[in-house]
Amino acid sequence: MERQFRRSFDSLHDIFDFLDLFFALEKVDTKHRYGMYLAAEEFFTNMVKYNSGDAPGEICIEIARTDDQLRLALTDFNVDPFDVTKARPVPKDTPLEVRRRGGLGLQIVREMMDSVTYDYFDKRSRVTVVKNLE
Amino acid sequence: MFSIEWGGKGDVVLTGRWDATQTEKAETFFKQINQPSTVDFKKLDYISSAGLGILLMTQKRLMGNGGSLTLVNLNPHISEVFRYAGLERVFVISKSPGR
Repeated sequence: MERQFRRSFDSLHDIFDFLDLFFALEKVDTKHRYGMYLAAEEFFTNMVKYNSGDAPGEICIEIARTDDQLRLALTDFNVDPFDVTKARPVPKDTPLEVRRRGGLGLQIVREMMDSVTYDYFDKRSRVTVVKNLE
Repeated sequence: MFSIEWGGKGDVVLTGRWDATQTEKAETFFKQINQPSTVDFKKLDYISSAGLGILLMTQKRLMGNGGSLTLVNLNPHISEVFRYAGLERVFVISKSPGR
């Protein structure tokens, strides 16, 4: 399934509805859904906030299922490269006093997913996450 | 849908899905908290890093004044999110109020 979403935080509810439709159609177990919601939100909001260049108004989200995997991909068009997977994780034992607000989303998604990859081609930025279904 | 309100026992009750669209509402609410408080997650289905960031900054501010937030009734998915972020080390997390 694939759909374009307006580059705005307000699109998040439409994105969750889109994922819910997919989960219902594909009968995805509820235990695998949270990570997909989270990956979609974290990467979508990241693209909205940080991608530069002459980006058009929409971001494409694709989700697919094979027998043993869920695969979610977000593609941003006509943008400069911005590899979110290069961000350094926040060590889990970081004391509260030195913790900052950002950086947690990618860290959690990395832990929940079996792979998180980034590729850039033809001025398109794409983040893909894969969850193995056991 | 997301709501945040005071419960009958002076605790903070979260309901629904706390995503990035709710940042302003949640931030406004948590900024008014100036003393040790319990936050009840029983009716919360989902939280992303946007919500975690607000809780983290509130905890930081309260700890500076000798207080803290106690989080109760987290569902298994949300507990996992806190664990993956290493946040179970910076909050008191209980299964139910008073435990």
